[in-house]
Amino acid sequence: MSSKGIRASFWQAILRDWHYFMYTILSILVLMINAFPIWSFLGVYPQLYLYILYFGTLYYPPMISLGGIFLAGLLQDGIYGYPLGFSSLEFLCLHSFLISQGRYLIRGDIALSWIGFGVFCILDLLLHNLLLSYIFEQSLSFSLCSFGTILTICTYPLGLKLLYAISKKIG
Amino acid sequence: MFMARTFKRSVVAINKFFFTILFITISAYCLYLSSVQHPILSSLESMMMDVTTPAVHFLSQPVEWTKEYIRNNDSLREEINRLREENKKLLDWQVLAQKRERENQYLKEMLNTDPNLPNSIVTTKILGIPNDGYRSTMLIANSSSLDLAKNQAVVCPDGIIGRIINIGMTTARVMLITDLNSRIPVRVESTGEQAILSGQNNPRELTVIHLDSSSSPESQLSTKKDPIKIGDRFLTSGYGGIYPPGLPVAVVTNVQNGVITATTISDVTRLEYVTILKNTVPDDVE
Repeated sequence: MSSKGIRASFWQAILRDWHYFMYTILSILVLMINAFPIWSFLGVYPQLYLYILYFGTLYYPPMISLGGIFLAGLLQDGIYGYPLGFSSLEFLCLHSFLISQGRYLIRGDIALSWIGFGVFCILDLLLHNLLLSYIFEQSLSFSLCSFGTILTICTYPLGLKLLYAISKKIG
Repeated sequence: MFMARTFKRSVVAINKFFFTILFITISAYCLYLSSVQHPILSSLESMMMDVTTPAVHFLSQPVEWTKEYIRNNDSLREEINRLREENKKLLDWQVLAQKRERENQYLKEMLNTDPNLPNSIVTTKILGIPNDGYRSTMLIANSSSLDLAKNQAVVCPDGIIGRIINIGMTTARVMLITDLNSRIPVRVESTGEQAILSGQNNPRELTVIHLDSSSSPESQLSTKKDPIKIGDRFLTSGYGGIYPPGLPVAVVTNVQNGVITATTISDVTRLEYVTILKNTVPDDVE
């Protein structure tokens, strides 16, 4: 194959898969936004990546890959200083849960989806707390992050609308 | 045709299930290696920190500028008036300081002390304070010239901030004293009682998890013990080998039902630079 041919197929592949790239970049951006100092300033820590995970797994399954979730977990560990693999394990377990229960959630209306998201967030809080308690070798209080979880659940329709608009733009 | 389609679907489902299990196993294995501090995983952790920190720092700049702008505007007038007053006082102090400096120089010569002391502190820039409600860490800039090492104490003019827990090529992570895993051996300034302060992941709150009244020389001499009261200061005791003794840590803000709560003297959210004490590094201390 000539170099021109290789270059053409490379760009074709980029054009074909650019929306996957965009979704991955969006995921990374959301993780970065979650680490902004503004959250410490406000004293509330929402779990913004859960929107991406929930929305991607249920409504745009081809956009979200296992590798992407693994990478997002590694990035989160890098940002907050968790042991490497901690967030990946958490996200992958949640993703597996969504895959097993997703068919019941997408059949319903927005209210059911919202309730499903609430259960999903609480499950994340439990898993996060459980894993961290094991790593830190001390029982952690749920109050540390429950306010952030409540905020994440309450703003679900807003996040859903925003992600839907972005996903439409991405294609 | 139907059979073929069903078979194809089953293969895809099995494939997906297999890969999910594979990725979960890889993550769990990484977590295990990371928790036993495997050297490869430790260097990977440092690498991830080096990759993510500049990105977070760059993206959070507009937020920082806005925060700084609001803060500056609010306090600017007060600050100008305060500085005018302070300037007057400082001019008086300057004359006195020059006199004291000459006196100090003369006394040092008399004592025959070496002015070329080793450079035991370095100052570096804060890149970010990521917090997700469970961990309180600070990311600082690193370079080979700084020669940072694990467990070095990080301070600011007000007092102790934390200690270095992870070192990358361009960044380093500091565990703040407010982190859930932080334990600092301290003593009460007024009574000399030994205590251990623990972080609560609250921006400035610490709790006394152990108080040893029998250790203070004052309490050994007298049977009457003074209880800890609001306003008492905690200073580092020097035990544990990480923090040098005598540095201010926190002030007691609440004593209720045997639970003593203290507020850190330093406010990390208002800092731009921190100082690292380089002469306190027992590497094996965890």
